[in-house]
Amino acid sequence: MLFNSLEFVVFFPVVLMIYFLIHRKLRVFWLLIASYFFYMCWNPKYLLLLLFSTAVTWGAGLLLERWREDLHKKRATAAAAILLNFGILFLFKYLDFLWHNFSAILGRFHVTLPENTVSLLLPVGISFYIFQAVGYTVDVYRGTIAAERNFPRYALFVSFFPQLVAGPIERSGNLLPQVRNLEKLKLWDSRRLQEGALTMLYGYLLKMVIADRAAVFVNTVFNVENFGTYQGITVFAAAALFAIQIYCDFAGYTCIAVGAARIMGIELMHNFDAPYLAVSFRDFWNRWHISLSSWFRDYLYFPLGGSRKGRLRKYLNILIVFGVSGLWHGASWHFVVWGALHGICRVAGELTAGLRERLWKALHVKTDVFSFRLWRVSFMFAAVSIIWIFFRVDAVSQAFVLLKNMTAVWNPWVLFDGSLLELGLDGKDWNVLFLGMGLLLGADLLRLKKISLPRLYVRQNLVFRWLVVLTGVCAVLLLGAYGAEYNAVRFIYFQF
Amino acid sequence: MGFQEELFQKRRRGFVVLKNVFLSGLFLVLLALLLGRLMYVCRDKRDNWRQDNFAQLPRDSVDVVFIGNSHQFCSVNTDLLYDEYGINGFMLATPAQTVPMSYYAAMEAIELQHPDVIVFEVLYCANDFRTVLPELSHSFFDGMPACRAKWEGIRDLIEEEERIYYHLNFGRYHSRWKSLTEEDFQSDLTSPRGSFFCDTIEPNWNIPVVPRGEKKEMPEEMLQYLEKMVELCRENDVRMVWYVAPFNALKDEEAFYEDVFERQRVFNWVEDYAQDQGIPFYNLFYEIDQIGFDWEKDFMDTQHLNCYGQEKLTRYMAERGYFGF
Repeated sequence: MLFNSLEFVVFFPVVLMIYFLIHRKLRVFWLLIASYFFYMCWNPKYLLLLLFSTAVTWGAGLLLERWREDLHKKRATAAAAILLNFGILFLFKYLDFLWHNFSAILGRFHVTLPENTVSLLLPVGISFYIFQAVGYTVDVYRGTIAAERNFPRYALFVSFFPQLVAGPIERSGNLLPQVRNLEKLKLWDSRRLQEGALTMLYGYLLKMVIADRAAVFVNTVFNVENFGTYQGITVFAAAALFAIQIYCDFAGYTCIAVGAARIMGIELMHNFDAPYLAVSFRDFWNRWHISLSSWFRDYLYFPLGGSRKGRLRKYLNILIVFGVSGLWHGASWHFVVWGALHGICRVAGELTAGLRERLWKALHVKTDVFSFRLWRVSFMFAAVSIIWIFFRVDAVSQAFVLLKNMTAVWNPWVLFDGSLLELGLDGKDWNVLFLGMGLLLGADLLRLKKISLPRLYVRQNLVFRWLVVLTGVCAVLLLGAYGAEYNAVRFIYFQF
Repeated sequence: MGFQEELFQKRRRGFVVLKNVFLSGLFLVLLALLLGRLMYVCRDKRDNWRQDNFAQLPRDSVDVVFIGNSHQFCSVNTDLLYDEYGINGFMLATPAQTVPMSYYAAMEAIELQHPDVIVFEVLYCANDFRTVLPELSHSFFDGMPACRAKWEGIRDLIEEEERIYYHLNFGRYHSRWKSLTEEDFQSDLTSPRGSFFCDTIEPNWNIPVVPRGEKKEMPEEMLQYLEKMVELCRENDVRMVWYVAPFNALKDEEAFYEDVFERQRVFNWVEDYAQDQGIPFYNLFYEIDQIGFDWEKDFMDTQHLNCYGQEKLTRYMAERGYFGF
């Protein structure tokens, strides 16, 4: 059940209506039933995996608290729970990849491995809920949060449907206390309801009007069959639009999730903080997919030693984290290369920071002015867009072909001679796309100034608020990509 | 807190709740109105504007409803019927309206108007189609207001996974925002009686006709729908009139004539069936000479009459009381 499907349009109001009407003690049970139903809509069998992961980490949490003083037992319990969870992830997501690569290496030594006959369909959202459950286990192990004794409450923490299949990967410290407090929550809060509804509407606008429209152009240029056809600026335009597409797709999903949860009285963490206004790779990763990057920071980078063991080790740790982050996105080398490139750029950025500072001073370049920030933001956007090519393709070799095509010719005239209008989007579509991107930029600039758009909205007069919502609904319904001849496009991050 | 204060607070809370309920309701009404208008504006109304107009008519204000396919709306001018013969009719025919679709059109006519007479053009009795193309099924159902005929018709004729797009057809039309014109925003379209007007002229030639004795049974499933239509009208005390308008072969070639002859044999069979049911049937292939078509002027193509032929045929049928009046 996709957020942009008709099923969800029916499912969510029904869940909400019953949630608001039932006795407060039943709220956790109702949301748990709704969450499991939501998950079973993809494949009922995979609910067993979700239940297994939930049961293992819940049980481990209780044992960790019982053996608080016994370090050996604590370590063994935490290790067992983490291994079991990552074991499931490995089995479903990485076994085939590892087997394939191992087989290729042995093939060089004339050793042939039998074919891997275990071909499992990747359960939707597995990387998200397993990371969330493992994060909880580590938190209880570290003693930063008390173990949850009530199973339904814990099960809801792992499976809360708005964020179950594509995050944000919630922290136990944020979500669990809210689940525990659900019985006491005052549901009828008009400000919160309005903020939630507007956040959802903004999410639908990002996904259906911007992301799915940009996807038409991107899919045409990045189609393997068209690899020889498009060159130069056309390929770069597609890369830049893919950067917009993936942002609007994922941020759109997150906004719908955050808005839906807020309507139900639960505050989820934000996953994005104007990432394309970042001025460095370090800054970018503080703003992009925050729930995942902070997960890696807290549960991988710090345990590896972080920056405490010298500069060389710090850089190595950064490269490890980015490599693993790439692998988290998919069992394929192009994801690993994408992650590694970000890691390399991040390290290179730190290594050259002093040098660049001296250079700007020597050239008398003012670094505290708008134009300098604009240059850095533009440079970052171009660099990130080019690296996104490795994410978008199906194999590393394809990315190199696209990069070669991109640099083969200098053809800026395609921006003016109407060539871009022949790649799936006509002039009116481009107008809508630019208008949407303008809205996105405006919202991100506000975010950069720490101004919350939903909060700004609820402070306005009634007529203006209604106008905003009515215009937004009409824009999504009229300009969005959906309907009879349109198969609802999955959110990109569902595959992870 | 004193009793007065407590009472005041209670009343205030009650007022706030009432205000919120009222505002929420008002917002939902506004949203529904806006969406309704948006859906209407975006819908492709080229072929289903008649149903829009039909749904807006006061109940029991139409005496004769015409159902069938393009041959029906090209052959009869309901405006002329009203202006010159006082027959209060409405043209509810749509392009490629198959017999099953005509059954649901009859159901719609009875449900919304309950006319005295339903005039059915039987061309599609010779075709074994439940529906022709999705676009044409949409043009038939999309203009229908929410009624039993629409619900049952969609359930019967449309694949299960497609049905939702017939009930909520905005998903199909919303991308028309790029090609909206002034006409899309107009509520009152063309003729209030559903008349079709086309002044294109294409010369035709004399239509050959098979002997009346040559007959061929109509497809079984189509016959079942025809029987259901007869039963429906009988149950609701609505008289039926059937006819077939003359048309020529697509090209002046033998293979194309054979198709016309095959159909004419089916019409002859349907005539017998109509007589058995006590329904007046007018096979106008055998009245071509009396109608007096001008082969150079009265057709828009070899199959359909233009406004000149339409006027001639309408007058011919009206003057002879073929429409039951």
